Amino acid sequence: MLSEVITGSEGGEGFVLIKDCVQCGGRGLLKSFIKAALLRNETVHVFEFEISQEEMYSGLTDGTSSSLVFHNGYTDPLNWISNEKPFDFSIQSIKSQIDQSKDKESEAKNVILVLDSLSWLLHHIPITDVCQLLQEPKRKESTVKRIIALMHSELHDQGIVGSVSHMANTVVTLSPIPEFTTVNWEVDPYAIGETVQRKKSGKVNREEECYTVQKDFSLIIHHDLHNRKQAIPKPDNTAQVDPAANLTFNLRLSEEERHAKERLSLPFTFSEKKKHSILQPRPGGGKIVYEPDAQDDFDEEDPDDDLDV
Amino acid sequence: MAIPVQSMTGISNARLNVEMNTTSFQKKSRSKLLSIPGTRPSFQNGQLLVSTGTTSLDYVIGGGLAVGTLLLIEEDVFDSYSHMLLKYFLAEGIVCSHSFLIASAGEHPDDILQGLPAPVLDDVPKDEIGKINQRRENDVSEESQDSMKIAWRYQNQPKVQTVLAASSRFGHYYDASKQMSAETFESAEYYPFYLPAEVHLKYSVSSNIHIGYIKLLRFIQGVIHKEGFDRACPQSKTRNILRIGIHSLGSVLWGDDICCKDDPLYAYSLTKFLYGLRGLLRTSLSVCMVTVPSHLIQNKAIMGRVTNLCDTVIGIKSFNGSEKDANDLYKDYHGLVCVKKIPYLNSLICELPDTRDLAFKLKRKQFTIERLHLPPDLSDTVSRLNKQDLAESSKLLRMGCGAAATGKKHLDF
Amino acid sequence: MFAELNGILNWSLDKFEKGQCVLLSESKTDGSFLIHHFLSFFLKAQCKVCFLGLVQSFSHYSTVGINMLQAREKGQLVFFEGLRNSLDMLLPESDASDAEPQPLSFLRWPSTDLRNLFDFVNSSLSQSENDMSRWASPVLLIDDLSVLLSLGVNPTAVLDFIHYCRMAVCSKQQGNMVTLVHNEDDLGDEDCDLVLHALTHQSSLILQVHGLNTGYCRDVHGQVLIKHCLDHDATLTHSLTHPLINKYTISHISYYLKFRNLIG
Repeated sequence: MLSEVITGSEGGEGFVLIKDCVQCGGRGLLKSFIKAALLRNETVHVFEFEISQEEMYSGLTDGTSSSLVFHNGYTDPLNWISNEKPFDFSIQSIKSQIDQSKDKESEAKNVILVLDSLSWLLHHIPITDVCQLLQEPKRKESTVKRIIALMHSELHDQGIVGSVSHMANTVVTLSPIPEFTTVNWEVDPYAIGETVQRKKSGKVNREEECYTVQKDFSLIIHHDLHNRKQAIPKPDNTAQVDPAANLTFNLRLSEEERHAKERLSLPFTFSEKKKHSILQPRPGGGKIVYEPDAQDDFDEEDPDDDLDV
Repeated sequence: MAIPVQSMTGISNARLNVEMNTTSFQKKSRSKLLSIPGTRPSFQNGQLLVSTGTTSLDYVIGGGLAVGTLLLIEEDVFDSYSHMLLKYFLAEGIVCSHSFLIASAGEHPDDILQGLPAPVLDDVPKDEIGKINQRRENDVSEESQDSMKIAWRYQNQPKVQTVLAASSRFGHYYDASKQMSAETFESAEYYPFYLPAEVHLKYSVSSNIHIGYIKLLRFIQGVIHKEGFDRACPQSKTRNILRIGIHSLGSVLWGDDICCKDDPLYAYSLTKFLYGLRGLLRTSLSVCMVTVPSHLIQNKAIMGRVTNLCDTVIGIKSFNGSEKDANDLYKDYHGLVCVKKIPYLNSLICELPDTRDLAFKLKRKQFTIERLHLPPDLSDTVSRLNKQDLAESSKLLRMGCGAAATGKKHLDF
Repeated sequence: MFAELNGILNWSLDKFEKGQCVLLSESKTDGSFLIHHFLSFFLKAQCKVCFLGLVQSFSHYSTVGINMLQAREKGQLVFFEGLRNSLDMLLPESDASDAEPQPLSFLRWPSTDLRNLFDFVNSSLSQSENDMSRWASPVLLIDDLSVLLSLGVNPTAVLDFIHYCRMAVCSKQQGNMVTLVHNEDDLGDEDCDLVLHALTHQSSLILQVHGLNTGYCRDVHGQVLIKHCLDHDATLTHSLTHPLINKYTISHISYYLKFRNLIG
């Protein structure tokens, strides 16, 4: 389902939210969304807060593509460096920026808005404003057809993550591949993406897939995650092999070998003389001679008298 | 996995290993050290050390308290033993004729001064240790005739000594039952700071620090600058150490609310103060002992930050009034000591103690810290079940001390 | 520096990756040895270094590792001693606000951001023509970031500061940035968790120092986990455990290696 969402063939409308985690970042997936949109020759507005323009462009375009509009929120979002009129990344200004570039093209083309990442916005703008922006695709007159946003879910309270996810038409939640799936994949999967999609009709689709983002930002989906998961423990249960069969070493000793083994002196077994020289017992001292009395209750089974018998 | 690289054979390999293991970090020691009474250089890193007044505590924290560092004692519930440690620390200062500063918001500093324990000036403990050593030697010679068959290598091993003590003598012993005579402390340079006398009526807050903390910081700064404990401006007159003891910092009496609320209004007040204090100590010839009622601090994250900002952190848990008092395992001790942090000073590593499971007991004359061990079971009818209980409860307590395993998954080493 | 660590990272003095944001995280043990390692490494590699030492004094850092005094006199190193500078801010001489902006001004006016601290970093690392020819790429070292949180700085302000440093040092000047964060996972310090997680997303190389799961041990200090986050998605994870330095062998750290290639 993930690849359908990316190509836009199935429910491409509305707000797509990618929630990633510390173990697996979602920027690769985000870039494959952008790449797919660029291939469809759609206009993409990227609001970038976390990486530089070069990093964002690397692999996507040769930098000349006019359909990718880069809004730089990385270099100086808080106006610490330049002392120009402070530009605020408020919702109004985001909208007006999109409108401005649209006027230049002078054609009413629908645009895709990419927010990388929503976490930065949520840290600097009140959540109600952010949510209003995210409502934009639902308004009829809006030119923003689609919003794709990346969010680092650990960086926000559960409530905020919930409210934002509630706004989304499609939520892709990334989680790391559990360690026990040590199957020989052709290409190692990067993460598990759980796609939950809400249709206008009220129908909800849910699917879990393993995916890998390749160098050209195309996606490999490993469809058979569940089959694999179940298949793993089976070989261990079914095969009841004799453990002693086909060994590369010998388990039994011949008579000759046994003699050789017994002759071998093991490490840390020393001759009496050597033990003596190491310990250097001092001359003198006593010896305990014990002659049991008639009254002594000597138990054969417990000579040291330390068992509970 | 656990095979060290050195065990490989072959000359080329061996040489490679030598190269692989070299680092550019070299142990450096300061050649020129100030000689001040009551101090000695550390074997580890050449730092100037002073005694905490408790010999076994000195041993635990790596020989003593380095000048310019901050020791934090997490108070026990009734503040009886932690208060005692603070008194030993100050009394040691008097005996070594150091200057000292007492800051308190509850008990008046003069009262703390009056209640300092008297030093035991005859060297009885030293003789005792000597006797023990001698006796041990005799024991060995007597017993060695009885040869061990299997564990014969252990035959000549010395008996385990649980009392922690360094080989050389440093610091003094104190008699907790006697008070120091007035003549002893009259001659000492003493700077009291009593919060109620400094700040009147209502406590206020400036730049998110409680005014009490600001006052104290200013007071300490003033003493350090005026009385010449500053390291930066060397003076011709003889240098001395300033010992600073701060009692029950962070409690309600200081105007702080971290003990009352889970989400205090000024959660950073104490940490800011400690940062400033550490800055002062680092640039002067002073050492500081702070006690903090950590059991009252509701938000554990704050305590974590406080620990991170101090150099040495020792936790004290007393058995007084707790159910552990009744437990057989602890009948020999009065409480537990937990080493939470040891500083890394002028060195890549620190002197780590053998074990973090320590316990203390208070005898008539002295406070000693020992390794925690299970007492020998001498009863005639040994119940296996009972023993398991003891082991369980000891495990539980170790968890409390933070020294035991945190993960249940697997053993690494 | 530890030659072994360089070997694992595949770094050498004349060839190491530029433009990297390196995150060091410590938990239940001390990770400062890595700070010393990177400090010596970058000074020896003739980089222009700005060091925000917030935890220890200058003499401490200088005694352990490389001679910093020399580097400072040559103009190679800019050292900021947090402990020494904090007092002027905490105990101001006069109530009048100074005209000169101070790096630690947040101590006095708690609601302010870390812009002044960033300006300090930026101006110490921005290179003149003369510097360009003398020193290699700029490097920013921070020991440690959690101190800022303890001093009452809002985590968002810390993240903004890091954002700007990363932009100025890593992206603009193709330099490196090394940040230590102290975090105890069981204390529930939410601010610290937030900063650590956000940094994990932004860093390209992560070294996690962790105390042993099995509890305290005298001879083994802890383990180090190294994660390379290459470009965007491909995460190459090495895991290695290292028993740190025995009591007397100060100049030695040995690593016991356990490579685990999770994802190629």
